[in-house]
Amino acid sequence: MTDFILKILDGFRRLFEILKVDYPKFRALLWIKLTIDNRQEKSVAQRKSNKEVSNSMIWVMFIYAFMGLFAGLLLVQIPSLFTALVIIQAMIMVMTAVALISDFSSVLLDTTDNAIIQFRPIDGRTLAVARIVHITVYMLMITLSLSLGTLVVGTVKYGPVFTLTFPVSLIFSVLFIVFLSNIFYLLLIKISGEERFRDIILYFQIFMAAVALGSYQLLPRLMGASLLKGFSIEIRWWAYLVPPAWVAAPVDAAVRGVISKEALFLTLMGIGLPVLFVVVVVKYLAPGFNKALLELEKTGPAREKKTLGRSLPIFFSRIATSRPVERAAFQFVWLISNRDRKFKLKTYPTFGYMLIIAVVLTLRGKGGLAQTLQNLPNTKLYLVFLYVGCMLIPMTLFQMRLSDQFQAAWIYRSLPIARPGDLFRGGVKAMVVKFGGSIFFLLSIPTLFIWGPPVIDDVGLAFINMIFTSYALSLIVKNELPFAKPYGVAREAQKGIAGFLLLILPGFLGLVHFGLTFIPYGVLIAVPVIAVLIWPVSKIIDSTRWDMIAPV
Amino acid sequence: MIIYYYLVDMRAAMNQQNPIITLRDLKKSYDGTTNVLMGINLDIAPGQIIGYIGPNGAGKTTTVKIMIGMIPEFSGEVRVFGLNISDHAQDVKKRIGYVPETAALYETLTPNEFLRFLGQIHEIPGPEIQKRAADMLRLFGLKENADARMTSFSKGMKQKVLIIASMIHDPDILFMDEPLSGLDANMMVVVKEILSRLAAKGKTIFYCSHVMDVVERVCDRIVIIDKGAIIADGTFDELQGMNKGESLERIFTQLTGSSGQDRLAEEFISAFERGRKP
Repeated sequence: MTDFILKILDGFRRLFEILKVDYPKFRALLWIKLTIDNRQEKSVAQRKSNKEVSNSMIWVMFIYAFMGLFAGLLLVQIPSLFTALVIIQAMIMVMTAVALISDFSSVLLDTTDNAIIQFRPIDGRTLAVARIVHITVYMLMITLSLSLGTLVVGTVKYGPVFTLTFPVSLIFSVLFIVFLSNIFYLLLIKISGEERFRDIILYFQIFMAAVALGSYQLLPRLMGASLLKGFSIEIRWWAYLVPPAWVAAPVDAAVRGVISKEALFLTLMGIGLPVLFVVVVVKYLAPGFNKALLELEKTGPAREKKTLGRSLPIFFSRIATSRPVERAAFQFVWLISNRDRKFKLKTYPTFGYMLIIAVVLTLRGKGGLAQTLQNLPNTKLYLVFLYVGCMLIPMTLFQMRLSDQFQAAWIYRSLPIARPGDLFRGGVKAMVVKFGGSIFFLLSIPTLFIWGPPVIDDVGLAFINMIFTSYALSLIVKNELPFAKPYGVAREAQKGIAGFLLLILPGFLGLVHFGLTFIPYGVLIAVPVIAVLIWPVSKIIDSTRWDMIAPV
Repeated sequence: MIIYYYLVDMRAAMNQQNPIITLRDLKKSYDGTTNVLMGINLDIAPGQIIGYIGPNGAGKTTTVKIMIGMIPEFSGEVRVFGLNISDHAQDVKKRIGYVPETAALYETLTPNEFLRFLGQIHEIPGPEIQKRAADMLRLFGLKENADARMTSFSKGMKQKVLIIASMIHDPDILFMDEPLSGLDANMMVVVKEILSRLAAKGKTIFYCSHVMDVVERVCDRIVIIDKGAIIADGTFDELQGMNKGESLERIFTQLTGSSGQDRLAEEFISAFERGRKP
C-alpha cells in the first residue's frame, strides 16, 4: 500500500518541486515513515496474530469502514439529510481526531528521527512537508474509510449530487481536524511534562480501543433503537458554533437545490474558517511545536514514592501472599502493570468494555428503564455482575506474560529462585486482586444493594470461582514468566483443546452457578467444593521446574 | 625468568588447591549440529580477576550463562564453589552476581524498586537492602534518580544500576559481561578500582570484554577463546612471552584474526571506488 500511495504522490511531483521540496529525498523520507507506520500496532485494531504487524493500516481502514457503514445507515434512519449529516460529520471528525491523537502521537512525538536525520543533508522544508504529507495521508485514509458507507448510502438515496459534494465537504472536515488536534497538542505540551503528556495520550488510546471493541456491540443496538427515528435538527443559532453543521449545510443545500441564507452563511464559514485556521497553524503554531517537543524531552523525570510503605501493592501482597518470592513477584508485577503503557493499553479497554456489556445486558428490558430496574430483583441477572471480574482473568493473565522489555527477564534466571511457580503465583495474584478483584468488589455492591441478603452465597461462590479460574488458567501459561515475552511475535497460548476449555472456563462456571441457583442450598454447598479443588491446581503450579520454562 | 616460573607455579598450585570454578569438557550446541562451545576446560582460583575475551560469536556469553545456571542444557561438567551447577543451580545463584551484556531492565520501575525486588528474592531484610541501595546509588551519582523510573535513564545510568544490582547481595563471584559499556571515564576508574578491591578481599571476578586495554590492566589472568575453544590462557606477561606482540590487542588479533585485518580495512576503503560509476 505504501508503494501505491507513493505512486499517487509521484503524480504531484511538479507541485512539490514548485514548493521547493527536494522530491527524491522527500519520497525516501515518506517511504520510511509509511513503512514504519505500517508496522506499528494500532489501538483500534489489536489483533491476536502470530506474525509481525506488517499491514496494520489495512486493518485499521477495515475497522473504520465497518463503523462508517453504521454511520451511513443513519441516512436511511433519519429523514432530514441535514440532521443526519451533522451527526455523521461530527462522528467522522471526532473519530479521526481521536485516531490521530491515539495512534499518530508516537509518530508525531518521535524525536529520535531528529537524531538520525537532522545531521543528514535534508533541508528543513523538505522535512516539514514530508511530515505534513504523512499526517495528511494517514488522516485521509481514516476519513475515507469512515465515510465510505455514507457515500454509498447517500448516493443511492440522494443521487449523484451527493456523490460529488460530500467528498468535497470531507476535505474541509479534515482541515478542521488538523487544526483541532494541533491546538490539543500545543495545549498539552504547555501544561504537562513528558510522562504526564504520554499518559494523557494513553487515555485517548484506551478510549479509542474501547470504542472499537464496544462498537460491535453498541452500534447495531443503537440502530435498532427508536431514539433516532424522527430526530431532526433545524438550523438555529448554535449551528454557527458547530463545525459539523458548517460542512453539512452545503451538501444538504446542493442535494435539495434550495439555498437558504443560513445555509449560504454556514457554507462560507465551512470553507473560509478551516483555511484560515490551517494558515494560523502553519504560520504561528507549528514552528513552536518542534521546539516545545524538544523541551518536553528535557523536563525532569517524574518521582515515585520513595518507600512503598503503606501503599496498595504492599497492603494487598501481605494479605494475598505468604512466600517471600511470591510476595516480591506480586509487588513487582503490580508496579509494572501500573506503569507499562502498553500493558494498560491492552488491558484497560477490555476492562471498560466488560463493564459496558454488564450494564447493557442488565438494562436491556422490553419496557422503560424504570420498569426494567423495578423488575431486576426478580431476575438472576446478578450473575452477570458477579462474573465480569472472572471474565477478565484470562485476558489479564495473557497480557501479564508480555512486555516490550522482555529482554529484562534475564533477571529471573540469574536469581536464586527455587520454585519458578512462586514468581508466577505472585503475578497471578496481583492480577486477580487488581483487575478481577477490584471489579468484583465494585459490582458486588450494587448486586447486594439490588438483590439483598439472599444472594450473599452467590457472591461467595462467584468469588471462589474467580480464584479457581485464575489458578486453572495458570496451568496454560505457567511456563511463561511475567513480562518475559515480546509482543507481536509471541505465540498465543492456544494449547489445544485443554487451552480452549480453560479459556471458556469463566463462562462455564457461570452457567453451572446459574444451574445451582435452582437447587436448594446448591450454591452454598458448591463454595467449599470449589475451594477444595483449588488445592491440587496450586500444587501443580508449585511443581513447575526451571527446565519447563521457555528459555529467554 | 625465575620470577616468571615462580608465578606460573603459584598459579598452578592455587588452581590445584581448590578452584572456585571448574569447567570440564564443556560443550554447548543450540541447534544440535553446530557446537558453540567445543569443549572448554578451565580452573579458576578464588580471588582472581579473569579476563575472558574472544571475537564476536566466540561463545563468551554462552559460557557465562552456563556457569551461572541460566542455560541448563549443556554437556560436560561445570562446578562452581565445588557444586555441580546442574544439581545446585539455586545454591550457586545465591552467591553470585551477574551483569548481562545487554542493559535490559524493566524500565518502568525505579532503581529503588528494582533493588528492593532483588533484596526480597535474596531474602535480605527490607531496611538493610534500602540502606545498602541508597548508599550504592548515592556513591554512583544516582541519588537524585533513585526514585525516578528508568525509562528516562541514559545507557550509562542503566549500566550503573546493573552493576549495583549485581553486587547488592555481596556475592562471592561476579560474572560481568562488558560491565563498563556506557560509563564515562571517571566511572570506569571507580568500577575498576572496586573490582580490584573485591578481588583483594578474595572475591572472584569473571570479566568478559572486547576492550583489550581494560582487560590488560585489570585482569590477573587472561583467557582467549575463539570458535568455542580456548586458544590462549595465562597472565598478560605470559601471553606476551608466547607471542611477539606488545599490547593485548596485538596479541589478540594475531591469535584470533585471519591475519587479514589490514587487507580488510583496505578493501573497506576501496568499496567507495567500486560502488562509484566509472
